[in-house]
Amino acid sequence: MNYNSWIFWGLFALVLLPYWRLSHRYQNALLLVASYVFYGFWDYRFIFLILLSTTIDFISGLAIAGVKQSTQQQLRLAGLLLTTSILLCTNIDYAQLWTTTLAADAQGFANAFSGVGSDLLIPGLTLGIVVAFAVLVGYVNRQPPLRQRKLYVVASITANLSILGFFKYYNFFTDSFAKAIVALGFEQPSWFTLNVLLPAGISFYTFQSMSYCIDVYRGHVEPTKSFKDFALFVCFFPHLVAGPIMRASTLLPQVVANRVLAAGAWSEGLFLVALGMLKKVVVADNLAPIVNTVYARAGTDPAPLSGADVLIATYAFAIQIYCDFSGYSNVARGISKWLGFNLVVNFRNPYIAQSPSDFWLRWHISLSSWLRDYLYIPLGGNRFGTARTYRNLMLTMILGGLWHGANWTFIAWGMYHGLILCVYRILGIPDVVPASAPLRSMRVAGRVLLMLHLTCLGWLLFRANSIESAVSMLAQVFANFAVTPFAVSALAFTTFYAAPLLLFEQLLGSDENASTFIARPWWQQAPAWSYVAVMLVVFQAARSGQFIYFQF
Amino acid sequence: MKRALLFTLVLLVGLEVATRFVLFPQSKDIVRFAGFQEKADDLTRSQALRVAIVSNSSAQDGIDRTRLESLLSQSRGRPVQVEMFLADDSEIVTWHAMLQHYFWSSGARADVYVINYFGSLRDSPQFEYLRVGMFFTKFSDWHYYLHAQLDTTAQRVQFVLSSIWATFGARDRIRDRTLDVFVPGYRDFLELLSGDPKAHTADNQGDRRQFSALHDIISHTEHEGARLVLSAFPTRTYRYNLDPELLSLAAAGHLNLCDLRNTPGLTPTSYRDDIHLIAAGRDVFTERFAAALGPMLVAR
Repeated sequence: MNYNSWIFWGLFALVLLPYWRLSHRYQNALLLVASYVFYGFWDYRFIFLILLSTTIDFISGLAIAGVKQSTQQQLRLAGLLLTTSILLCTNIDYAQLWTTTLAADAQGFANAFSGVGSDLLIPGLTLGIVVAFAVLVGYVNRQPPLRQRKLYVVASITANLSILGFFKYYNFFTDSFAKAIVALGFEQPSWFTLNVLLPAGISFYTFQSMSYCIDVYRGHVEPTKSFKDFALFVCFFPHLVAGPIMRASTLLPQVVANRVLAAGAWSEGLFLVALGMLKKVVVADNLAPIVNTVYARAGTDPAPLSGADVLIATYAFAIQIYCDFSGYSNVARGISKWLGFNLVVNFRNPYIAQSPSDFWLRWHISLSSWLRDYLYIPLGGNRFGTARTYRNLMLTMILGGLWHGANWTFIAWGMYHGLILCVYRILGIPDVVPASAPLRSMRVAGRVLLMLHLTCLGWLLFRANSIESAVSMLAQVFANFAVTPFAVSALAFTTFYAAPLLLFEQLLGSDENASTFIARPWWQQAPAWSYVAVMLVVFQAARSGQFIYFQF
Repeated sequence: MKRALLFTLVLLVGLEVATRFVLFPQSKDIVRFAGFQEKADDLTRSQALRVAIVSNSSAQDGIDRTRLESLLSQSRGRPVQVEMFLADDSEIVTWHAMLQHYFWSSGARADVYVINYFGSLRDSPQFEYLRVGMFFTKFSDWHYYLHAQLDTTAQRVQFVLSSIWATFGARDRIRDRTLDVFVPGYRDFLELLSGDPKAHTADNQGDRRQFSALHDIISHTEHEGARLVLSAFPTRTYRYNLDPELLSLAAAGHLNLCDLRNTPGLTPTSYRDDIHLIAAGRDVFTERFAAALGPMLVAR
């Protein structure tokens, strides 16, 4: 269920209609249920996974802060996990359960449970986790207080990364290992390849809940004693599957506090939702076929691609991924405003960045700041000499690349960004051209143009099916640059869909600056609203695909 | 902001008016639709043997209606009136909707209904539900389409919207006409895109789709005592088989099958593309079609 689906908006209306008539307590309850329903639309079994992650970090947060939970509370959480694992992760046939209940068919009703005994792996593992946790608590509580805190935060990080690692990277590493041993002449063992499903948004919510425990450990955040509040913090549906990644210090107080609908929240929300939908269903989804056509041909079509085709498709992809991802963030921020929440800004015109550092202050800001605060700085940042700084930069960017997905192209993309960060640093190029610099406008334009192309080169790596394919496509740009009819049409098509939006964002100053726009006189707003309305009604793509970042 | 939104609303209303009163009259297809009810009523009143041909542009270029009428009248020894109900790029679900809309819902009648087709007569997952919603359905038909032909919420919502909102229903036409102006070689470019939006107007349903539209047409024609003829149209290079289901329906007497896939006299030069015939090809096909159809022209 996506923002670009009618069913989402139907369900959102069901949430919003009673929402502002409820008390704070029931508002949170409604949001929690809606969030799990929203997430369950992908695969209801994943609700258990997010609940497991939530429970681990909730308990860890309290334990890190030295807040003792009563045995009754702990048992209740253990019971919740076990019950959920049985209800969601064993093969109960709910459709049959429902029909046989309606038909008063006792035998059929009993048969609905017939598969349960055959699949008790998840409940068994859950029981194992609960027992292991009890043993761990017994051990940790005998340690000195400072060591206790450290052990709990390590346990939380280990648990989170284990879940993330298993679901996101198991297939990748076993496949890579299998290829390596086959290349060495050994036979591939059949037992270690599992077809592990990737839960939507797992990277986003894992990073968010993990940072909560780290922040509690660092003393930046007070742990919450309410499991429901914490669960809502983790699974708040507007940003659950594709961010922005919220910090506990920003979102948790909004969950806990009474909700107030700020003046202008409806208008700003509408602006953000409209802009986000325009970006996704009009721009990104219409450009997707150009990108898919050219990138699918690379390496498979015997006729070599023209360099112009590659270039146009890569520009189109740069626009597509920006509009797809920032469109999601826009809609997430917009509907959050309607619910009385403020999510952080995730994009600030990234394609006018003047340097790699500037780019990462503008692109997926919530992830880049997360990586800075929880990886780069703990690694030492730039505090321990030049060599360590470069190492830290490379390591942070490679892991940032790997965060996007289990594929060598993402690792290469991260490495590439680490490399250009290092090169800019070695050359001593400032992040932005100083205000007092002579010929500033020209220098800024030149640097923006250079950075835009460096970014596009990165996108080529990111989007290509393999590194070999990326290299061969890049070679075509230099070796076979012929302007084809396809390239001419694709350029005009891309310009038609993307140019007005990109121009509008430059005029606005920031792609998510809702309040600036709303404050303008109506006759300045009217053309923009009209354009969005006409584009959404008439020019939306015939087929709206899933958001690209759902897979990350 | 309220004024800005009001302005936007006025603009959308203006666009709706322009779509209905400026764009629609420019579309040959839509202009044709406007005359369909009159044709159906005219056919109903006719004393001649009444033949309604339902098809797409293959029949537009492939059948000379006047010549066919005269050939059939000669062969049957009595007056035959032929009317054609054609929609570009259409297939069985759209034809079902047209028959439902112009005949069965409005009380119009024919003695013989001919469906001229190529490819498959299975319910198509890619039928143009926006066009069907906009032109060929009434509120009373919605139940059938929402339950039997449309599978996703998005399709259902768009179907309903297109039936009440012309701009929305005709958005493909508006988009294509606009992009024809802005994008050089737009139509060829669309063909090259692997994700051609036109190829994805609905999700692929695979073989789950069966012959429900055809079965519904059969039950209507049988109910009113009319005859149903399926005419398999010849194509230049594209080859298709007759589905065994059609053969068994024909064998059971539910319909007549007129297999003209290999029409003698038609050569590759008779076509202007893979489907559409040139004038010389049309003359040949009309004669062969009349010869094949003539013996089937008896009321049930």
